[in-house]
Amino acid sequence: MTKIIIPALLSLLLLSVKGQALPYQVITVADELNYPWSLAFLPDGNLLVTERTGNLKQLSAAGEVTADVAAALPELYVAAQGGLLEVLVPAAYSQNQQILVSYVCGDGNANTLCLASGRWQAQQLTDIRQLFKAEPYRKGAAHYGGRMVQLPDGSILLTLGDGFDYREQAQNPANHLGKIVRLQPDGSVPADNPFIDQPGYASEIYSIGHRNVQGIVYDAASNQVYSHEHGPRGGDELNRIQAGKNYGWPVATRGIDYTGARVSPFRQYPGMAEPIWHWSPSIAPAGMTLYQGELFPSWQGNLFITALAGKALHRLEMVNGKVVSEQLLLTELNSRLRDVRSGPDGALYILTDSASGKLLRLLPAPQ
Amino acid sequence: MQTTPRYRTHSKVKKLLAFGIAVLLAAALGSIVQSQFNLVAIAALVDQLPPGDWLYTVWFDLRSFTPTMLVIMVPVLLLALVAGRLLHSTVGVSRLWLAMGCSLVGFLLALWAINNLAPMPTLIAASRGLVGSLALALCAAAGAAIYVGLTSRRNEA
Repeated sequence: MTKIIIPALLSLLLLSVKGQALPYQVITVADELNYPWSLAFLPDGNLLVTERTGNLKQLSAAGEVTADVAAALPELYVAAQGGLLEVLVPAAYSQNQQILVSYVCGDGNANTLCLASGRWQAQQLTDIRQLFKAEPYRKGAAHYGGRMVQLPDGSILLTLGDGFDYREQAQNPANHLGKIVRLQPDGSVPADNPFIDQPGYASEIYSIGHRNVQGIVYDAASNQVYSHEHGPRGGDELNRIQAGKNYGWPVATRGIDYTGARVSPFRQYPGMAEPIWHWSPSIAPAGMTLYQGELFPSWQGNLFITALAGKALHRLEMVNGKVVSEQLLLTELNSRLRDVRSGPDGALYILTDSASGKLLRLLPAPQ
Repeated sequence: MQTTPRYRTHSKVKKLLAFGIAVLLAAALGSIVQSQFNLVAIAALVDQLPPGDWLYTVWFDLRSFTPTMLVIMVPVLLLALVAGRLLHSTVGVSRLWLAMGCSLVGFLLALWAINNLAPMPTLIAASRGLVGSLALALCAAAGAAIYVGLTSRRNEA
């Protein structure tokens, strides 16, 4: 009898889970985006989208492409993980129409991450100025970081990667590999940066010991900065970023090399900050937003993280700076997801990662 | 001297066994060598790296990294040993030195090919520099030497 009842109950359970309606609907706003990397909202409701292959597009809220500019960035280098990366619309945009873009500059033998400002006006990017160039140059086209967030004081946190082959340099405070740096929107160094007067330290550094940071947000309610970074095989991390702290890579890591070799014997090490959440196996986190919209009231204050390898949107419920639960959304798309942002309309906007990438809008399911 | 079919089969099995032993030892040696490069790099970043952690890492890599080395080592040694044998019959240099030389060069070529094909700049961290690449290639050469030693006429008696 039990042989019949247990499978029947399991089938019913499966059916009820499968039949459960998703709490959201996904609308394709735009498609045919060539490896879209980041998006930002302009005050007038339009969106800016970067394509890693070098173009900056402006889209209307309805998804119509109203501008498509091959950004004339100094020394732009497009290869593998390199190219045009993040676009940030600073708070002062309404006054000066200035935007910031991070991108890879140089060539195959010597390249690095650069930050430039430009004036976005009349659907053109003009007055482009290179503000910052991470040092030193490296070979290869991997692990650039490239995400940005603006803090309430107007300064910008810019994330950087370890260059893959240079992982030990993430612990070297004299350069920018594997660091988060803090700059003013004009590229100057804030006077209160944590290592500003320390000999042997690059003055731009805000935190050290990162591998490849591809998501960063500021939570005004708690005055906290969160960032996530790719681990190697396992060991993707969500960190609470504080000025001057060391986040451990490559000394303290839960990941191992792609070859199976241990990167380090240590999962933790004294003096190195531990992640507040981690993923093993890796999900390859690639974008992040703190949801504060009104369309999904129960999601307010949650972190949303797009995953490339994980092919999902991770919703992390945060309570007092701690992750209390995790939910995977958009798994039904089976797509690599590059970036996620909270829209001014309360919807979540997601970029998929492919040569014909899409901009998706996540809305509550119709009643 | 005429050889019987039974002798030929016995010789093939012996060669196969010798190849298996050589490849396994070369891969294990390669794993131990790459662990040292990683550990030396980490030791330079921390106050102390206890011997127990050092040994555990070597043991971990022997179990977890050796399969990667095997995947590289099997075709490298196979091709190198065949090439060495062919060269031996034409140039007349010692079979041992030819096998070792071909394996060393073959392993370096394999690293070059892998690093050009793999999505990451350098697959095996120890091979980021010339010294590490040569050290790993020497493990392949050691594997070739083991094979030649096990299959030499003296051992076939």
